[in-house]
This record gives sequence, structure tokens and C-alpha cells, in this order.
Amino acid sequence: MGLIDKPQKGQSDLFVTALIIFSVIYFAQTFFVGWFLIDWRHISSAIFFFGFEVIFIGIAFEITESLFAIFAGPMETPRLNTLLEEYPPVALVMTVCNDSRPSRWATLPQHYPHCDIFILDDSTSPQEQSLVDQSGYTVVRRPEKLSYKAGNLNYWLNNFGKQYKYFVILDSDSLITPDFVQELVTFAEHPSNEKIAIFQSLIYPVEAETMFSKVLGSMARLRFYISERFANRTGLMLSWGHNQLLRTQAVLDVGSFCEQISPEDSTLSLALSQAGLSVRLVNVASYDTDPPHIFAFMRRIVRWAGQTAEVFSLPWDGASLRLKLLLCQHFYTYTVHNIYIALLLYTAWGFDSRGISPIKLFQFIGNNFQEMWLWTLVLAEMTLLWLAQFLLRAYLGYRAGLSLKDFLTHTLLATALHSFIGLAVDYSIVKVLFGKKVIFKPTNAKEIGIQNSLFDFCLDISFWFFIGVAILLGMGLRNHLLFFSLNGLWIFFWGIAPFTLLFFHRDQLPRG
Amino acid sequence: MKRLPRATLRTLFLLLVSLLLLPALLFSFIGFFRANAQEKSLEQVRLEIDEINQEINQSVISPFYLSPRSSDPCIPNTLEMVSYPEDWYIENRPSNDSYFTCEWAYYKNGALVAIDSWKDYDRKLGRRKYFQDEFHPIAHDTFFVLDNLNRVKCIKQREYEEFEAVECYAESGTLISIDPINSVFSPLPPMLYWFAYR
Repeated sequence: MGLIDKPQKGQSDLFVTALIIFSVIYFAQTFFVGWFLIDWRHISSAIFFFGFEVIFIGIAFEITESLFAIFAGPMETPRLNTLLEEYPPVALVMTVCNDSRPSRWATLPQHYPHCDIFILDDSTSPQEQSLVDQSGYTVVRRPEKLSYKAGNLNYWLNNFGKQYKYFVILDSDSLITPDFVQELVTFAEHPSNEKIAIFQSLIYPVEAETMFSKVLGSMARLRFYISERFANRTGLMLSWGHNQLLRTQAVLDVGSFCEQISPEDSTLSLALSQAGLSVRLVNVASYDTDPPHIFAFMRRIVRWAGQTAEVFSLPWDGASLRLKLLLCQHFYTYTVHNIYIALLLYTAWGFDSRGISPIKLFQFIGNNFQEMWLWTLVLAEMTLLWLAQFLLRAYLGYRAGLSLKDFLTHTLLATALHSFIGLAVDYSIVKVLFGKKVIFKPTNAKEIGIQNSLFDFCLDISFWFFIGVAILLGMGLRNHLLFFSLNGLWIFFWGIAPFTLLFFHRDQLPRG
Repeated sequence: MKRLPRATLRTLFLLLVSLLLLPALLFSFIGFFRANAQEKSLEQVRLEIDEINQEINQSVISPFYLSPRSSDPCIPNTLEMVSYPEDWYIENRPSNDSYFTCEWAYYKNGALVAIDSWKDYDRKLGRRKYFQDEFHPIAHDTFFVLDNLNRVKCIKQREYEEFEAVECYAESGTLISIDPINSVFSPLPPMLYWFAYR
């Protein structure tokens, strides 16, 4: 076997460096605002400071990520020459649950000589089952459909797993090239990678048929550009659950997939880390589809949020601290919008700017600058911070080959999504924290129509409406200055969220 | 530190948030004590100013403080109409500020304690500036402060040199509010999570 002798320059573990940079950014920000900007005589300022502090955590994390993506090189995982001397047996398993895509089956055959293909069918519909039976591959159906995807995969592992050194997990919408297995095996077979249990491919969006999914998927390149330089270099990498190659024995050694809770990917990453094994993102392309509309997107994001909360219900004694920190960061991103909303409501009602006419605001600032400097400084500081964050991402998008138009369009859609889906995400998390289990529904399951997401959708419409009315009333009656600076900009985007979403669904609206 | 990998995710999350909020808590304590100390110093200065103010109001008897005025406070012989104690001395001099015509500098035992500035247009008392140790300005009162709609916002507004505080007093001299500017202090960070979701 010939090894590729790639120089491993600058491939050191950057976790501690990342931690230091994050801390420096966070504490510098805390110091600047706490020392210079906050007027500690007023309780409102103190409340704001603590709100800002929670938000600064995310800002510091994102800026750290961006800086790494700019200055650190991508992780170069060693691999063997593509001409392997041995071809260890590999199983390619595609999980299906009422969401089969027959068009994908033709793309499964591999150039790799020792690869068997299985379809693990959890479909309940007889039509779906008979469709899957026509795939031409080995179809595995378990008698009892328990524990969702984890149960499905474990059934296969228990019955077939030991025959294969590696197995590849694909979702029903996964699309791979004929060299996919071959390429991943060259990474897995390299002796330096024996502590890596999961080789995760880069999953690009494909077959985006709606405007919504096209825009949603446009950020993939930027996301991978950052992950290869930050997540991979710092060890902050969790399994993405599909389009990946796994070491069968490693998975069996940790007791296979966790069936207690539904997120089989994150739990496997944690379990593997308990055994000192890790997940690595490797430069092999694969594809899947993004949700075609807001309803499918909500189903996915609500499930992800609930699943993240579910992971918190188990102890994970001895699992990698890095992965635990990463999960804490995920939990944080699913909940931080509540701080924004709380601050927004508080600022709309808690401050009184009725004495100042908006028309004369600038005159007022000019005349009272001696007293207003604190106020303007806070706004200026926040604006600069936001601009720095925004421009860093835009620059990285440019480096990753993303057009500015795509970047801005995605930003507009992401803002609307973020503004709109808060309550459904909260509801999903709270349910789990109170002991309810996540009901796993595949994003693209055929039997799930729009009506199944209607509850979440109504929840979000009511949330948007009531919060919107409360904020606008506060702004109208108490603090109209809230409209100014970037506040106004993002409140505007927040306010028009449903219309923005409608705009991105215009190709799916009934004609006439 | 060795126990960290054994911590549950819930513990770790709470630990992390607490750890990250520690500096905020530290700043709140420091900030609170600084604000308290400042408040005490301000209280001290306020008392000192009130004392000077009261002394001027009680000791210096003049028709010029009353409205409507029949005499111009800025004509050279105007001080003849003013009576004040023996240890006081008042100097009537032209003002360098174009907004005012003249000013009265009050000296007590030879040391400057305050300066009254009389307005150019109607010769009303526009500003009273207070001094400590003769040359060190500590605060000034501005009379009949208008808002942006030209309405009287405050009969007497006091601003301190070393404290970021603006006080508003009623005609009777009662302190009505401190720092009304704070009511518009309502910053909000722009939304920074535009990239959180796919």
C-alpha cells in the first residue's frame, strides 16, 4: 500500500487556540461594554448588560469561527493512494421510512469491488414497501419498528454488521458518486486515522426544485469552508447521520446506536468519544436534498431542536468535553432568540422616549451629545460588531466561491426563518425538557403533508403576530426611538418575516 | 478540571453559562459599587452647591432675581441696588459668552464661589456656575431649559462637571428628577444569528 506523503504542516490541534481566541473576544467585549457603556445606576442598563452578555457568547463564537476560517488552513486528513491493495468489505445501507426515492437507487452501485447494498426499510405503507421491494437490492425489514433510525440500523448491525469492516449510511434522498465508497475507504484504511471512527463527507444540496430549497442550500459551500477549517481543526465535529463511512467494529464496541433517544448521530459521536474515537469531515462530496418549503423546514428544525435537548437527558459520563461543549453551543443557538425577543419587548416598553420627536432626533443627539454619548456609543459599538460579523461572513462566502447575491438572498431568508420559527422551536425543546420524547418524522416522508406541520405553523404565526403587536404597541406608545439605527433594520426584517417567506414560496403558490 | 469530562450536559451547560456570566457579575458588582460611590460623592457636591446657592439667595438681596425686572443687571452702577454681607464681594463684568451680556462673580472671603450670567436678550438670569477652591468649576444651573418643541422642559437644570448627571429642579428648588436623558437609553443589539440555520 502506498501512502500519500502529504506534509502535515500546520495541522496541529487548534482547540486550545480557539478557546483562547473565543475568551479574548468575549471578555474584551464584556469589559468594553461593562466598563465604558453601562450606566450602573439604572437597573434597566444592568438588565440589558446581562442580556447582551448572553448574546455576546454567540457573537464571540461566530467571530472565532470566521477568524479560523480566514487564517487556518483546512484539515488535511491523510489517505492512501486510490489504488488499494486490499478491499475490505463495505456495506452500503440506505435507510427508508415512507420516503423512498426510486431515482436514487440507480446511483448506488459503486466501483469499489467489495460493496454490498442494503435498503433498510422502515416504511409502514404497503405501497412504499412494494416499491422498495422493486429496488433490486437486499431489503431488510425488521419485525418491530422501534427506536426509529437507530433501531433500524441496529437491526441490520446485529444481523449483518460483523461481515463488514465498514458500512456507509445513506438517507433515502442521498446521492453519491460511483467512487464514494472507494474514496472514503482510502481515508479509513490509512493507519494514522485509526482513531477516527466516522468519516463524514461534505453533503451538498442537489435537485433543488423550489426557490426555497435553492436559496436554503446556497450556503453549503460556505458552511463546509468554515467546518473544514474550524470544526475539523478543533475537534468540534459531530456525525451528521448520513453520507458517511463508519468502522463497524467501533460502532459495535460502543453498543451500536443509542435507542433510548432519537438523535442517533449525536449520541453515536458521544459514545465513540467515550472510547477515544472521533468524527472527521473529509473532502469527499456527496449530495442530499434540502426541504422544499417552510413546512418541511419547520419539521426538520423543530426535530433537530428537540433532539438536541434530548441528548441533554443522558449523562454521557466520560464523553469528549469538546463534543459536549459543541452540543451546549447547539442548544444555545436554538434558544438564544428568546433573549432577543425579551430584550426587544423590554426595550419597547421599559424605556420612554415620548419627549423626543423622531424628526428632531438627530438635532436632539447633536444638542445633547454630552449626555447622549453613552447611548450612541452602545449603538455604534453594536453596529460595528454586527458589521464585523456580517463582513467576515461575506468575505468568507467570497472565498468559498459564493456570489454576493446568493449570500444576501440567503441572509434575507435565514432572517425570516429565524424570526418566524421561534415558538415552535421553544415548544419542541420545552416538551423534551419535561420528559416527552421526540417523535421522529423524516423531513421528506411522503405521508406527511402540510397539514401535519399546521400546528407548528399556527403556533409561529400567532407568536409572530402577538409579539409583533406587543412590540409595535410599545414602540408606538412608549419608545419610538427603537426604530432607529440597526434596531429598526432588524425589527423591520423581523416584522416582515411572513411576507419574506411568502416571497420565497412564490413559485409554489397556486396560480390564478 | 479533571471532573469536567464526567459532567452531564445539563451541568456543563449551566456551568458554562455561569462561568461566562461571571465577568458580567463581577462588572455588575464593580459597577454597582462605583455607581454607589459616585452617588455619595455627587450627594456631597450637591450639598455643597445647595449651600452656596442658599447663601447667595439669602445673603445677596437684589431686585434682579424677581420677575418682571425694572432694572438692567448689566449697567455699571447696578450693584448699588444690591445689598450683601460684609464678607461678600460681587463683581459686575461683561460676559465672554455671546449668549450672555454680563456676569456677576460672587466672592466670599475673597474666594470665587459662583458666577451668575445674565442673558443678552431679556437680561434674565440664564446660568449660575459654582466653584470650589476658587478656580475649580463643579456644576452649573441653567434656567428655563427648553425642549425640542420650545416648551419649558425644566425650570432649573443642573449639570455637574465631574458626574454624568443632569438634574431638574422645580421653581421651589425641589429636585424633581435626575438624569432624564436615561429614559431614552434603549440600545438593542442587531440580530446576529443570520447564519444559525441552514
